[in-house]
Amino acid sequence: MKKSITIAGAVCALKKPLIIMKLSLILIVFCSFHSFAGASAQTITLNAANKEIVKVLSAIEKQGDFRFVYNSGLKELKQKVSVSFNKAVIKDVLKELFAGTNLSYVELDNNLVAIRSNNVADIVITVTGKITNSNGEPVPGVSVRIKGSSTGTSSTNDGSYSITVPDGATLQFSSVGYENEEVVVGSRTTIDVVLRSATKLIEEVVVVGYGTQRKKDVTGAVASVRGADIAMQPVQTATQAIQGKVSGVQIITSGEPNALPTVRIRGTGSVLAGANPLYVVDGVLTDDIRNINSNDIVTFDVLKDASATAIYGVRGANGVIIITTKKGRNGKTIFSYNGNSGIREAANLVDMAGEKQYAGYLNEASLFYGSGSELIPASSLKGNNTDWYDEILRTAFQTNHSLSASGGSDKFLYFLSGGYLNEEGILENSKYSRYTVRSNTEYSFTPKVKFSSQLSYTGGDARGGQFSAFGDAYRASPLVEGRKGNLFGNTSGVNGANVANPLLNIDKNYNKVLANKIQGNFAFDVKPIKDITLRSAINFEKDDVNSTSYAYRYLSDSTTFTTLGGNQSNPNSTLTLAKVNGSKLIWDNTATYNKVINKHAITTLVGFVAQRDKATGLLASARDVPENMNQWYVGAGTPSTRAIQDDGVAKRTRLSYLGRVNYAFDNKYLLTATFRADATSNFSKDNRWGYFPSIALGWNITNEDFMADQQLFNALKLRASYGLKGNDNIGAGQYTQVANIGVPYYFGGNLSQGIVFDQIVDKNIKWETTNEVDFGLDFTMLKNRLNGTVDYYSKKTKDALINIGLPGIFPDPSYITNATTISNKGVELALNWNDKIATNWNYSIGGNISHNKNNIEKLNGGQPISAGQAGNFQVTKTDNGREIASYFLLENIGIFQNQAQIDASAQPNARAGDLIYRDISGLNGKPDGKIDNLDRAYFGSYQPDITYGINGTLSYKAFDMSMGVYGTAGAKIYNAKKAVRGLQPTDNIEANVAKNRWTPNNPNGGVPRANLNAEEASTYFLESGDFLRMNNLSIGYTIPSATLAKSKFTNFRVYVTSQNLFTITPYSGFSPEVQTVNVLDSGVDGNTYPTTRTFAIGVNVGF
Amino acid sequence: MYKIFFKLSFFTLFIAAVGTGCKKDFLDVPPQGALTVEQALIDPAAADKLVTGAYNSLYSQGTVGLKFVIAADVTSDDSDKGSTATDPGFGGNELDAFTYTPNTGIFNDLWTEHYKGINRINQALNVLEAGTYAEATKKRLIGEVRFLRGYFYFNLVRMFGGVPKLIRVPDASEANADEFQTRATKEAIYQVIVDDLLYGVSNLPEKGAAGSQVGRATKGAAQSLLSKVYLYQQKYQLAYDASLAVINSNKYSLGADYANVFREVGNNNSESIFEVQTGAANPATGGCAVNPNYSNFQGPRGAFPAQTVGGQLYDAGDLGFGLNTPTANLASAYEAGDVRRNATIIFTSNAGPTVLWDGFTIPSQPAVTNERYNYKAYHSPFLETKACNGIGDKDNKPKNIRIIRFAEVLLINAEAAAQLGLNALTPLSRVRSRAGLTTTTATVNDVLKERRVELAMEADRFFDLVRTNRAATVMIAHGKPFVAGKHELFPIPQIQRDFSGGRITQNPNY
Repeated sequence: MKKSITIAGAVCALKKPLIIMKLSLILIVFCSFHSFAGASAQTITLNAANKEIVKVLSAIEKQGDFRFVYNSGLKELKQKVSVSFNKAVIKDVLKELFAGTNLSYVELDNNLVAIRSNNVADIVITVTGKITNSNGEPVPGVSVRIKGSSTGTSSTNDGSYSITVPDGATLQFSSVGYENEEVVVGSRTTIDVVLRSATKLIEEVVVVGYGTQRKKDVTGAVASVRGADIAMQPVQTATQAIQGKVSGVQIITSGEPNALPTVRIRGTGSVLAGANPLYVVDGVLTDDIRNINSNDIVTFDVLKDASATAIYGVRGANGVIIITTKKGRNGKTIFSYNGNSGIREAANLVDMAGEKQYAGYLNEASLFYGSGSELIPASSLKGNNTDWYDEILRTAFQTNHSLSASGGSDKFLYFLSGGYLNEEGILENSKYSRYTVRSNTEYSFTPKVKFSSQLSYTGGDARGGQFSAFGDAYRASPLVEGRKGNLFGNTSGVNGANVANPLLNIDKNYNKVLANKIQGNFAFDVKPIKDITLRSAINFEKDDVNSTSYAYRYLSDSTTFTTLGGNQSNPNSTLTLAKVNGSKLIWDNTATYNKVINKHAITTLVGFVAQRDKATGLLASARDVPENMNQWYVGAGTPSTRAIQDDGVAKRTRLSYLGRVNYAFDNKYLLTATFRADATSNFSKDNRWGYFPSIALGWNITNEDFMADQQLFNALKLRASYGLKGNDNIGAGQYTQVANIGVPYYFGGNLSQGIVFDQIVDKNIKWETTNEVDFGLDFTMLKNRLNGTVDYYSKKTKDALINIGLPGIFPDPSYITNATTISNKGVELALNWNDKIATNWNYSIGGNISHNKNNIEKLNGGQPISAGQAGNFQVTKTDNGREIASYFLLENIGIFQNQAQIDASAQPNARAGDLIYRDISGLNGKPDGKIDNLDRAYFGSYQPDITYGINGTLSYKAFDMSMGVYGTAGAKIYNAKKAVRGLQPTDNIEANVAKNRWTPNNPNGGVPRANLNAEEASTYFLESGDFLRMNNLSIGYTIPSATLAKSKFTNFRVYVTSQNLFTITPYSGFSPEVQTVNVLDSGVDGNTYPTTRTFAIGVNVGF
Repeated sequence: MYKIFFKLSFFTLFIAAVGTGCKKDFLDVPPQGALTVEQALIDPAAADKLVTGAYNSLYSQGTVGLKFVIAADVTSDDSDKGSTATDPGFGGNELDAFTYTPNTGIFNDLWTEHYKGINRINQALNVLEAGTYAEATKKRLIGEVRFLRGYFYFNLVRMFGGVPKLIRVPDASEANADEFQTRATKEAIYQVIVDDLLYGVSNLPEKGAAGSQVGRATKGAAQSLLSKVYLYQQKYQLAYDASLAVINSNKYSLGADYANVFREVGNNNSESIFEVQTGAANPATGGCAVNPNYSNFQGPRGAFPAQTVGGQLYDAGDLGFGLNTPTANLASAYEAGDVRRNATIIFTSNAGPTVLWDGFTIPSQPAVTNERYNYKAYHSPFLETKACNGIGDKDNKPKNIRIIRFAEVLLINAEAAAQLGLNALTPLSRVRSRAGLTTTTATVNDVLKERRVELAMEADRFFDLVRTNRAATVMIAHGKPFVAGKHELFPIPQIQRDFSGGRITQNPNY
């Protein structure tokens, strides 16, 4: 009772923020459908001659439908009987079996049958026992209640309990994080319980669109990751922690704080409409989950094939990730604290040339191959020898804390949490901090009417992040000092170098982005009649982003720089304020009908969804606003320089009808059919509606009679699915041509504001439609120790929206149209092995591997799309029969060593030490003795052939260890940073380039001669993107409960963890994980944020 | 209790399914905050605004701005890329050294910026032709944009030879149509130019006449450009007639002071026939109504100390990037006593500072990087209109760019006359006497020599050399690896050829 008062207090304390949120008219709900295709009319066929009753019972159990509980000490059970049943119901079976004994039975829920002896009737007994988890550790605080009564107790710190029960009682054990257990007491006085952790629960029930399903009934390709596995990694976004954990999912991360990882489920199926999956957070359809505190997540389900995703219709094409957050459990309040702190550092840097190497390289290039004069006189070497990456990078600190309380009663369940995360960037002056608050509640008015809401608030604060610093540090001369006292080295002032001093840029630019997001839902569930559940939910997301940037005034003078010259200056300070308000409202209405008739189990779902998204933005700026932060308002700037404009306004609506039928016959044959009709305002009236059906079949082979006697498989299921899904995720209003306004010109000395139509639009753009076929096999074998999944899929996206590059005769460089067919085919394999070595040693090892083949099949009538700008070249080309963004380059086949080689080549003007290119073709398709564009050819892409992950756990007594490995193979990276070096001849070079450059004395360094200019785009800059990363390694120690017994803690675990302990890769750039905004630029590494390595220590505490 | 909720729930479902479904316009969401074509067509001022938008194409580095200047001047014997050896200057290094290729980025910029302008013009014509304007206004506006289109095509044909002919608004689906993905002949493009300019001659008002406005194309502008176009086609009689019509209109005369012609005091002076109009600030949109960086990219470069002129502090360092610098060859092309030499070239020295006309002091070398700079591109931060972001804003100096002026019309007239055996001496001597020179002969060569010094650094020289078949001789003599039969035309940008699937042919020898 005391505890619940405390909770009431906590609720009151939360009221204020709640009221604020209510103002946005929004609250939300938590709910899940359990669509059981249960069975109650199973029959038994059995022959037994002269067998002990207990053996017969166990034979019945093996048939899979019934479980028995009894005191194994009962002598009657040893009695031998001879019985024969043919499709008999349990009642008759037991009646016959127990005839002539004192045994009787009670049928409980879920086909559980309690057996007892009549000899010990009507006694009250005291039951004691110990509750442990599957690792043998005691579980304190478990609620132990007598079913159907209010009598109960809870386990002590060593997991033991004691309770007095009447005869025939059933004990219920429940605790957060564990599956509920029910035990029939029978005649026992000692009942030890091993609670199965929530893992087991998740293995059995998976979240599917608009509901949940038992894993064994699932016909689609669905994978789940436990929230606990995500929360233990010291990363900001759950997606980062999923790397390597799910087959068929490629995740590209960045070391930048608050970076949005790139996620590809089963390859890249879209160019323009976004190849990222849809996220569904407690019913809210969203594109970004960086606002979610990983500690709040209970499951992370990845829906891959059409059967699973078609229910999301037009949003399902790239796969769907459903995130379910925690909810309360019936029982006393459980508090939980998770926290970790650590450091981050750049995992891999590129060594740049020091000043002597730099001067030597540039002078050699200039003296022998350039103007003939020395570019860097010896006098400019002043011993600064600046390592610019040292200057701009640091070891960053990060910390993450999360506290939650959960519990509830029969009527009310709650989960409350608060989190704080602070992550410094490895780049000086950058950091990200985030506050999260969550309230998930569920109130049952009656067993038939339930109200639920889920609400989360996230406040993010990002600072700094002068992204250009990485590029500038790569280029800046090592001759120039970074900073001397208050003065900065003048990197743009030497030899006409057009490079900014990155330190000065960091110092003179203030950037702050405050993002507030409120997300959640609010739902009623009603069961008006048996078997039918109606649900109406309002899901919402409110996203407000306020950003402030201030560029300080500074001049190219002696108060800023150590030396004069150059063009780095900002003569007018500028303040820019931006506000973007986004809102999303989704109204789900569904009706679910659930019925089991004999061997037929049917669940149907019909629904209606309406959605409205809106965004408005304002951008305001002014010059000469004072430096004092308190005056950072646009009004404080010079009036004539004030400017305000709309920024990113959009509105979009969608309307959908959906339906699904799940049918199971005899638990063996499964059928899922879904249908969704979607309309979107993104397309014109004629192209608005899209229809997305899917069908899937499943066969639980182990439930067949012929499998009854085998011991190898515990479960074996074959799946097949086919369906259509769509994608409309382009900006609003793309089918309408709009004018650019405010285009100025002067007539007669007066300003006129003109308008222009520079846009080209395709009025008939429509959905992208993806059809996908999937064959899968799920199995559990070798006494449940090995489980696995194999899938083959083939999907084809037709009418893919693509930005067609327009020839220069058009004012718009490109326009959007449905002009591509993209196929992705692949196989996925996931295996998990779980076992004990000895009493105290448990371990699991899992691995997954996926292969995907991407192919462009029909592209805009054959017009290939060039992209991937690197300097003066476009290095990727997307064309028929190729992977998206395949590299299209000259082929480098060596380095000229002498004039004879040059004379015999297609490069008559080359010098010894130059790169040799293969003369592939001329105008008539034959080598023509000239190296030009006709000699470019395809050389792979950034699409990996293979992605894989290895995950393992090991525990010994109180110690636990876990690790995750992630890797890809077959992807190629174009090292654009290296390739464009020379656009500015005084740019620095990589130390390896300088060191190994070709000279007559060093002909075999593999690097061309010193060159002031950029080399042609060739395979010389194409590198393998293979990598294997120790993504996570954690070691934990749980303080034994005996030690904790005197404290208030129910559990206490300390751990050390590292993220990205090491990466093995042949790639010479910063990171083989290259994020690009545009799919067509994939793998072109121009300005990658170095990946980071994290070490952290943390605690998980329950009390 | 539960019955209430039961009913409530059904009620909500009903509302959801019926209510939203009935609201037919739920899915009709027009573009937010933007003007659609349909809305523009019913806006009475739309046509005029679209014409303004077409003029705005002149604020582009690829049409008359720095990129065009580099293409036309740096490739000639008049100017070098300038700046520092290592400053790439938009491909200026390659253009200066004739090492450019179809991949050199500047050509694609020139190509696309011109077509962008042409498309705006075609868009405006679409609305204008459907519009219900007063006939005179309608014809004038059509004449103005067609004048601009003629000018843009003239640049294109001079740079690339025959190019795709685009004189209407194509549909996106036509992106790959042969019509737009093959090159029209040079002659066909010249026909477009002549048609457009002749329309202008017939329908545009004379300078100062009703309907005219400073900055808008006039009949005189159309005639002047037409005379130049005829000269390029070696149609000397037509060139002569058109230029004579401009001379005889008596609307134009040479400015007294050559140097002033290129300063703000010379904006729209008596000699100006068509020039890019600029102004100070454009606070409403946060932009600046200028051809950005025209002065900055050509401004004297180096490490300049802060200085005060006329009580105004200038602490933005140097005056620019120092691209497109006059050659010694140009400096020596002037006759003794030619006032144009010092009005065209800023000479710096290692002996002492150079003081500009407004009092600005350029330090001596090596604090100033180059020996010579383009004076015609200079815009005073002190005595002329400030850039929209103030005195230190080098990027947005409101420099009007002269596209065609009366002196050139006189020279066109003189050249055509010399070719036809008519009186060339009168127009030539008018130009020369303003420069402080006397005139004795007026042969074709005399006129061509005069063109060089009169129009130096005004983006004319390279095309003039090519037009008169002197490019190879002159440039090879100038020490450049100019290849006759190749470098007379720029390469078609590779990316455009790729778009056409190779249907747009490359110029010879690239």
